[in-house]
Amino acid sequence: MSTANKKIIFTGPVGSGKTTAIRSISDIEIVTTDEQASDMTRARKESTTVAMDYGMIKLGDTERVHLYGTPGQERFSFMWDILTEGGIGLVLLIDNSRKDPQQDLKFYTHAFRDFIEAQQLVVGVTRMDTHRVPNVQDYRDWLDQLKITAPVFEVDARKREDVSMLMQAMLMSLAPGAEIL
Amino acid sequence: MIDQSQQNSALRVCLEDVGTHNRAVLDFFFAKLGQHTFRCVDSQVEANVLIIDYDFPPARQRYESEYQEWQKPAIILSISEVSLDNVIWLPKPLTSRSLLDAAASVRALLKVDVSDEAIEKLSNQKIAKNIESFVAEKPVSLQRPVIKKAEVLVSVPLVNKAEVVEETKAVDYDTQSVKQSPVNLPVEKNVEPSMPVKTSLTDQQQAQRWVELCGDLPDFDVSANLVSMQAEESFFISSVKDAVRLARQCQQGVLLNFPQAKIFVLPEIHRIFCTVSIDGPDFIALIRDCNSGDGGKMHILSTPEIHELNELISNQSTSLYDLESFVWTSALLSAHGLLPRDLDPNKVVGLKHWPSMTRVALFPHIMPIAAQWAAQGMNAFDVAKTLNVPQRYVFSFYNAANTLGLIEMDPEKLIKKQSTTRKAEAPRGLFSRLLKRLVGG
Ligand SMILES: Nc1nc2c(ncn2[C@@H]2O[C@H](COP(=O)(O)OP(=O)(O)O)[C@@H](O)[C@H]2O)c(=O)[nH]1
Ligand SMILES: [Mg+2]
Repeated sequence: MSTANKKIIFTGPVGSGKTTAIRSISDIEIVTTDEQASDMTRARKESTTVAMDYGMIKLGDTERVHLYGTPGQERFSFMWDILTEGGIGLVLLIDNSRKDPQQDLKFYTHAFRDFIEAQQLVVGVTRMDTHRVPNVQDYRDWLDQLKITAPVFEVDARKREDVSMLMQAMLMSLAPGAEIL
Repeated sequence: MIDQSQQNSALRVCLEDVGTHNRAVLDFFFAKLGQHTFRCVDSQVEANVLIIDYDFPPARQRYESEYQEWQKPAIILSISEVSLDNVIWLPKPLTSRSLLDAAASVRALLKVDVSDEAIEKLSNQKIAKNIESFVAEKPVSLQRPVIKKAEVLVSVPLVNKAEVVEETKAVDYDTQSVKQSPVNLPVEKNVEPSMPVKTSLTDQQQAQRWVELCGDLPDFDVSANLVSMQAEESFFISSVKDAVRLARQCQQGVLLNFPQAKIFVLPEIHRIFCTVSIDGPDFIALIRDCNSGDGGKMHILSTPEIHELNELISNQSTSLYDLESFVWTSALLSAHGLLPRDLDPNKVVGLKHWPSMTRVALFPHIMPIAAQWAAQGMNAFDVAKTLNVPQRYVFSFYNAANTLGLIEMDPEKLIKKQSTTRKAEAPRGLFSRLLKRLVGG
């Protein structure tokens, strides 16, 4: 049984709602991982923490879908391809209240371009309750400019239904017509 | 003694000024994908290459004062370009590929450069000094992301679980500070397995709502006369579209006036304020009864009207809607599952962009319909057939999405889309189970 092909990655700038979104949807109390460290062959003296959010959705008795949130600030978050390896898709959360959300969109779609091309991107725009501008259509136009096709939804990371809908769109995009068993 | 010459042995790498997060991620890489290429060592003495995070504040300075003297090739990680001798710059965010490629370049450097032994000798002379300063500067503290006060912004009343009700709450609308209008969104509840549904309606009420939105007509025969599946565009929806167009063109609020209701289109905040709730029977009556004889006039808001609007929004706990949601619902209620005259169910079209599913009125099978149409150009009949869903839901989607300008009619663009369809097989079993979980709550 492989866990590698059963993970969904949440990314986006600090404050965009990654931790909250994973918490909204996870079946377990989310953890900020230390777990990666045990996976490493050599433990380091200082405790190494990938401050990555981790949550999980349980399917039936044994099957698990792992949810990872990318850590930290942009410049401290790299090697994203390791995180995404074998992932189902990418949930990009953009905080609509930030100074330049278009730049954020560019940055993250570029950083994850290979993964997005191979899998599926969905974009959730958060904090639209407080910041109405830019609007969803602006994001659609920006994605067009970047030649990326992805559903863009207004989401509030605190609402499970919003996060769920975004993830449903990801799955349905990957497998249109998938039966709901 | 340390083996230094083998091309195929791992590079001994020492991490300098790499913060805790990144160190952990790199370790992860060294332990897996990079295990044959890099071996992480604890001191620069043992190392034949350094990896330096140049974005870590003291790194630049230390490069000039120390690292350079060590005369070892360095892989520098940085967001902005770094061009220094004996250095390979890797832009962030890093990829495994770029690190592996960098390793190859380092090997080349090591070969042409001073031999490893010479490097070792040179650096040995400096060990004492280096270790001293190294220790002095450790531990390198982890930079924690800090959310600045200024970014946190105006305090907005959060939606409290207990106060989540069906109706949208009153909002201060002020043209100067329109950015912070809180919306209260309805709770969502799942009724039909294939879709999550907003509201706290009973199953019966929900079914009734779907009939209002999408009609209840049985499927048409594909060879049936188009006229039977199409309807004239209602006066209401054409007025709304005109008002939205006008408002967008001039980027100003527009008032659309009916005897039964006032509709304010507010493009700067992408919202519509309507004095009648779009979820109730009055709105349906408005759509049915309004006509050009006594309504549908529109104009740009005057200053007194802006004041009136502010008053309305703050006093009246009716509805300030997302612009697209309002238009979407209006389009659905106006058409009852029929198509407007300009939409042909035999024409192959595609979905340019998904509607914002979290904010528009939902109806059965809406997600699969969107996904199908986004993935490939198809005609409406075929979408219904492929997904095995009633045509009225496909027609409804087609109509509403088209009203929002989300439908791609251009055959050339559709062909392009077809050719870029994903190759990898999706694990449908897993997806189905996960979807069920997501939908089922
Ligand atoms: N008003 C508002 N707050 C949000 C929204 N989404 C997330 N938040 C809040 O934003 C804050 C930062 O979210 P967090 O999950 O820590 O962001 P992260 O840095 O991406 O993990 C939390 O207090 C959330 O409750 C939203 O759509 N609207
Ligand atoms: Mg977080």
